[in-house]
Amino acid sequence: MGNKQNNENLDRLLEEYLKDSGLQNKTLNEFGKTVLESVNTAANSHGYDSISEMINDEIAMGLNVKEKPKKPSLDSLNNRECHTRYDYFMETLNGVEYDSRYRGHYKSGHLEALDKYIDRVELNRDNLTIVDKMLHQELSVLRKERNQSLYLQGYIDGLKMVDKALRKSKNEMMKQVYQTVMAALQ
Amino acid sequence: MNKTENDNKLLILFIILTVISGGGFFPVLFIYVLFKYVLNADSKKTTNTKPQKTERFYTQKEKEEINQCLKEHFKTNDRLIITGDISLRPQKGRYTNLRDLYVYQGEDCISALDEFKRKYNDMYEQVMDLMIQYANLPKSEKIVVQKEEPVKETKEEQTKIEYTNCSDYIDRINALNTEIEQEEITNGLYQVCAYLKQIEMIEQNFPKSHDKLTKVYQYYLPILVGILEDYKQLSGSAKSHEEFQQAEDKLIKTIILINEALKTITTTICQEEFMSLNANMSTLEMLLRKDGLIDENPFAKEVSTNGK
Repeated sequence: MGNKQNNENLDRLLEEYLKDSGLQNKTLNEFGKTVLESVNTAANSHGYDSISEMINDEIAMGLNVKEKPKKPSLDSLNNRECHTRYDYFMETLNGVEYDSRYRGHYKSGHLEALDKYIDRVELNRDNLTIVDKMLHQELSVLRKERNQSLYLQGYIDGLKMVDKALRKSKNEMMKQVYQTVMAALQ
Repeated sequence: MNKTENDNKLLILFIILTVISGGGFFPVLFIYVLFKYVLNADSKKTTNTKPQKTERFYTQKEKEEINQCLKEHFKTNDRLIITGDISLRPQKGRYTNLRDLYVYQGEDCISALDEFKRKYNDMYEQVMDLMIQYANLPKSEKIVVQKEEPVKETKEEQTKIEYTNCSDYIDRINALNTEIEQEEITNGLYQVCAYLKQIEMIEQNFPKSHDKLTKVYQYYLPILVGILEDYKQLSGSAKSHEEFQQAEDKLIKTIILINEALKTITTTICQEEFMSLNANMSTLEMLLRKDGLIDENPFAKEVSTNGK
């Protein structure tokens, strides 16, 4: 199925260039670069950074050499003890990895969400409850979107990751506060 | 362990029953399996039901007491300390009800107090009990977190010289005046002392006017004496400084203003007495006229007779 789609993309590309009257004035190198850019753009829309990565991945998957790629997650967490919610949040988001099929436009959208909210967290270091509210508001709007491009999917998943990191930081700090208060009051 | 013991006992019982029933194994086996299933379901129910701690119920009166106490507390404090650096603060700076309260660790806002109620109800109850106890404390025992700045200001005020009568201020200003060389400032200070002498005499004759001179003794004159002392120090050590001349010019203007103010004060402190005097004289004139003891315009006749 994937191969058929890729062939269709190449065919369409060649048709467009054959129709293009400016093709005669282009050098072979320029033509090659243009083709490569178009092909890579097509790969981006499938969650890959480049066509070569896509081809390698497809081959590996076909040969069962590689595991099915997973969405970026917060599973691999560092367990360094932190003293503020901000520290926990930043520590949680450290080292997010993108498997194949979750790169390209998906990764761009995902990183866009992470960068946006990291900036907001930086501005509200002492009070992440404000960022919680902003995030939930945005998520509630975007979840209703039906036609989700790969970029938007990545963006929404990025927001969910930020939400998870904020919740984790809150839970860890609540636990700390609970232990301190109970120790003092008993 | 108990569960396995029960199972074993049950199995032994059914084996015995099978033997007694004479080989009707399958019906007995079916009954055994069914019975075991029912027993397991019961045991699961008993093991799964954790002893549920009943949530503490707060009466309307207790809630109102807490609300009232917190409203009063947050009028003069920005936080309610629970322990160490853990405190409660209203999210928007103004307290209206318990839902406004957020838990802080140091300056880091953790979450709303309501979230602690959901997740750590035992801690929430302990905090509420503390607040009830705090609400029931007499007012004198309630902790008010004093901000440092106001304490500093009062300390600065206490270092200023404060007298309660004019003669002490006159002596102090004269003492400082002898060390000041600038002629305009010196002349201005002589005028200040002259006005203060007048005020002293008025105060002696009209003791009630002392109340009107509180601001003069507590604010205007102590500040003036402080300024003169600072000027004296600077004139001794920093006369060549470029800002000294500006300060001197400003001091001259300040002394002119002080003299204006003292002149106004001397006319106003016995204003009431003058008004009273005028009123009494007018009253006497009216009475004399009413009784027919004086002409309408006695001063006009005198002039006319003198003119002749």
